[in-house]
Amino acid sequence: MMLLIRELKIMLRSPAGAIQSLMFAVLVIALFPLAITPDPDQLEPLGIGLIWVVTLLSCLLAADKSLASDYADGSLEQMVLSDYPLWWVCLVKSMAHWVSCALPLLLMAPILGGMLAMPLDRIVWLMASLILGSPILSLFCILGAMLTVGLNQSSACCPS
Amino acid sequence: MLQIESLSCFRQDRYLFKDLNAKVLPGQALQIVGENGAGKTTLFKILAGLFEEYDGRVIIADAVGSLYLGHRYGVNDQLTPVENLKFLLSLNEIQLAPGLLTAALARFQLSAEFDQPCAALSEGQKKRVALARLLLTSARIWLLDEAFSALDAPGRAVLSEVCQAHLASGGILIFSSHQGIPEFAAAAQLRLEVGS
Repeated sequence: MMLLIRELKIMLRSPAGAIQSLMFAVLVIALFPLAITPDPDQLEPLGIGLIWVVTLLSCLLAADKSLASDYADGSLEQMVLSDYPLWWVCLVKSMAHWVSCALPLLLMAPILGGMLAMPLDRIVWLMASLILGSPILSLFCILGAMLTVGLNQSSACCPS
Repeated sequence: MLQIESLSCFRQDRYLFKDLNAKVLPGQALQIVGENGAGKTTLFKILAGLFEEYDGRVIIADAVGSLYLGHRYGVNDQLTPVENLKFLLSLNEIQLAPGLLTAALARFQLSAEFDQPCAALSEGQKKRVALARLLLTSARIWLLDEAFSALDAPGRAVLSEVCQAHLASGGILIFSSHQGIPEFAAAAQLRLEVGS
């Protein structure tokens, strides 16, 4: 439990990461009507797919950050050596990642959907699918971040 | 008791070290000596259980628990010293009253900074936050990699007092240091050579 409290505390004290990934998502979605077409009939079928793609990308971008500082200051080593099972450490990291990255997007989904001219009933379905799917995205993103955190200059988005 | 038997580590096309043997009994200290790049930190990581690509054996008698403090010692910049200490201790399921935490920090001369995030502290002060954990841990084997560096003279004095108390109570201390620590001049030494 201490692990989770610590993650949330750190997140609240440095909300820049969460705001960044949210801003990224909002900007990308805002650009679509400008870049493709403002015509609601053409935008509307794209809506759910676009929001899902943006969710995935912003989750991937945030994943590295959720481990990088703990790796740099040695907290991650101490967690590995701790009495906590590693699956719990990973799960807590994923939960914190979800709260900082997917949850704000989920709350913004009605506005993002509105920007893409989605009708209300489709927005409700979109949110339901995000509630189900985004925790799995977080688990995958943390998996990628765990595998790449020790490599210099690489990210879960683009391992090298 | 901690025993190392013909420990070798092969890394990047060469032996970092080869056929190390050592035995540390309760109440004894062992100093790891070697130049930069001789493999001291790798040896510490092997002893702590963080690094597993080695030949030979590390035997730790009884489940006594070990505490590893390396170059990066797990102090988060966003948390206050008390929060950091509380978290680090909770990793070994130690729950303590806040009074004990502040007392441990005060022993390492950190009293005015309790309510600030650690980002406001200097490198040496952050290290003291991590070292305050030594006063409250139940681990009997201490693995201190360069714990004496970045500390000023009073800080070093407190740390060596704490280590001596640990040895007097039958603990095991394994440390590395480039500066001579007069209090541990008599400690057994394990020498690592570069490029063997």
